[in-house]
Parts: sequence; structure tokens; C-alpha cells
Amino acid sequence: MRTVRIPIAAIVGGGICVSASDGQRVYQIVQQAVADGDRVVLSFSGITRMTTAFLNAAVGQLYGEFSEEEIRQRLAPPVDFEAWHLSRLKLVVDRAKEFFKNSDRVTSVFEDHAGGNDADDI
Amino acid sequence: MVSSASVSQANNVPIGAYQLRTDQRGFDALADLHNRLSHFRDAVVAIDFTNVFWIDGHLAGPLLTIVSHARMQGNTIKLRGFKEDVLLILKKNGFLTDSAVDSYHTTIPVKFFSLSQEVEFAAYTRLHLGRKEMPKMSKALTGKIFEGIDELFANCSLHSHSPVKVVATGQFFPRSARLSFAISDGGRGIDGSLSSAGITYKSPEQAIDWAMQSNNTSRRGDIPGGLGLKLLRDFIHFNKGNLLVVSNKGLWRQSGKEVTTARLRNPFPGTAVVLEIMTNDDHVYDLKSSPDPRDIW
Repeated sequence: MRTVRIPIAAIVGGGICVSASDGQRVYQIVQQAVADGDRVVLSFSGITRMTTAFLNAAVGQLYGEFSEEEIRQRLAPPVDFEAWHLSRLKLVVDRAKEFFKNSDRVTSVFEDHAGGNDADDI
Repeated sequence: MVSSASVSQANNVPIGAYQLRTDQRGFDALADLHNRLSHFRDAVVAIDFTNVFWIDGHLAGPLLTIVSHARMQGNTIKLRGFKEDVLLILKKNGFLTDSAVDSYHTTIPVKFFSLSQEVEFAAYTRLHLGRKEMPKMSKALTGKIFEGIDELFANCSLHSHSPVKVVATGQFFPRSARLSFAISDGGRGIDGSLSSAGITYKSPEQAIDWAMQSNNTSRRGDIPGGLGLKLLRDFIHFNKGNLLVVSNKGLWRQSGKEVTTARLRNPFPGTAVVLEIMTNDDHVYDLKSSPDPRDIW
């Protein structure tokens, strides 16, 4: 099994990891590595801003494609992180596990209801 | 450009409030304005500020969303009747093209963003919240503010489907150690997102309340969601700040940990969010329970 280091900021092109579309670019690389049977090491070096929308796309959706067991085997502990990176990552991972367990859940959340100085430009 | 002559020939639409503040009355007045403007097509319309002697500067964001919608109907929008103080704040923050110098650098200027400009939005907030004139804030607090604001924009990008650009602006209040920041999209609203996802709701304000709960999302398919607004709510709770969300006819507000809701008389076109953050907050964020890297997956 090859170990593949994936520097997230390098893929995104900087430390601002806020958009779901950039997360999708990271996902495609991680997904391919996992599918190839590699062991993935995510590096958080240089990341200064990071949203859950980015992480949901980058790693959350892995849980819709692979089992938790496969992901645990294929994803190594992250590296080059700060505490807040891991806090947010863990939040997203736990949410993703729950999301895909309940992906067929009902869609109704409320079962019983349907239901003087004039002329300035701007 | 606008000329006095064209304003004199315009259809006059007065704002029906003396004050535009970040509360139900302020947003009722804005939603009423949108309702009245929505009757015009391909017309010249003057929004009349004669009655208004106070506006919270960051409400320029929601106001511009209303103007953007009126322009989408082919209308030409003029403004008239400003009191001096109102005129000055709207010049300082760049709402008016005839800008004024912001001597104390307390405004975060009005800026438009397309839905895909998340990175540009992050750069804008870094530039303006990182200015040396801004209140001294801890690194952790600054990080939480960026996180909350980034999550708000991400929500606009993912859910609003707005046909007009997102507007952001803000204001510092050094004496009361507060920062107000507004993001306004002109999209389908939170209840619109829920309806599109086949999720039913009791009222527009309950639609907002549902979206503000942890793990609730209108996203379907392969990508999970529903976390960003929880992070923001937790932060506002600890910060003892305020978070106000207006979406269509719903109004939702969290002050500290208390939540209240209300119904507007008319719909606001899209979703407007106003964050009010205490900048002298010394709460320790994010440090107490960092997960074990070996226990992430």
C-alpha cells in the first residue's frame, strides 16, 4: 500500500479553503487515491480559513462512497494541523457518518403542517 | 448618473419609518419598501428618505438587495430626501457612489459578490477586519469571527440561488466594543430552499429556526451539510452577541442564547443576516478539546 501525502492548500492554490467547489477538487484527488488502494495523509499546512462547506465536499462525501472501515484503513491521521483544523474536521466527519446513515430519512420536519439631499447614485 | 430633473419626474416611494434599525420595525420598513417597488416595471422610481433620521449603516446591505431586485425589473432607482447624518453614513460605507472619507475607519465598505466568489469574500473580510484601526481582538476571537462570516457566505453560495449579487457591509462601534456585519442575498429564502428540497414547514420563521438547528440541511444527495450555522450560533452564545436572520416573511433572532421569532408584514427578497459581535470578548475558543488525530476517521 502506497502512502500518498495530499497538501490541501497546494491543491486549492492557497490557504483559504472556503468554497465547496475547491473542496470538490480535493475530494477528487482523495477519492482516487482511496479507490486505488493507497493510504492518504491529509496535510493542513498553510490553511488559514476553512469552512464546513469546504470540508463537507472535500472529505464528508467520502462516507457516501466508502464504508467507515475502508476509510479508517485508507486515511491516516492528518498532519501539519492546528487544533482548530482538527476540531472542524472531526465535526464534519461525525456529521457525515450520521448523514449517510440517515440518508433515506423522511423529508418532512413538521409532519402536521404543510405548508433635501436628493438624487444620489448607488 | 442621476440628475435632479429626472428625480423630479420619478415615481416617489417614501420609506415609512423614522429609523431603520436592526430590528423588526426596521426590516418591516425595508420589506414594505420592496413590496411597493415590486409594482413598478421599466419606471423611474425615487426612494424617498425624507422620514428617515437614522439608519444602521450595515442595513445598506439589505437595502441594496431591494434596489437590485427593483433594477432587475428594468427600473431606474433614484434616492432623495436624505437627512445629513443618514447621507453621511451611506457615503462613508460606499452605499452612495458619491463617497465621503471615513476618518475613523469604522466602516466596512459595501461590496457586491457573485455566489462563486467565496475566496474574494474571504479576502475582503481579512482586509477590513484586519485593519490596524480595528479594536484589539484576540487571535481566537478573530478566527471565530472569520469562521462565522465564511460560513454565512458559504450558505448563500450553496442555498440562495440568488439572481442578484450578494451584498456585504459592516460597521465598528468602538465605544460599545461592537462589530456589526451584514450579508444579504436576494435569493429564494430559507423557506424557498426547504420547499425545493421537499421539506415542509409551518411558517417562514419556523423555516429559519429549523435551518438554524444543528445537522439540519436542505441539501440532498452526496454531500452532507448542516453544520455551519451551528458553529455560528455557538459562537454568538459565548460571545453574548446577536444574530438576526430575515428570510422572506420570517424574522429570527438569537441574543446570547435566547431565540425569538417574528413575522414581517411583507416578504424581504431573499435572506439577510446581521451579526453583532462583542469585540472585547476574551472567551477562550477552540482550545479546550482538540480531537486526537488518530481518532478522526
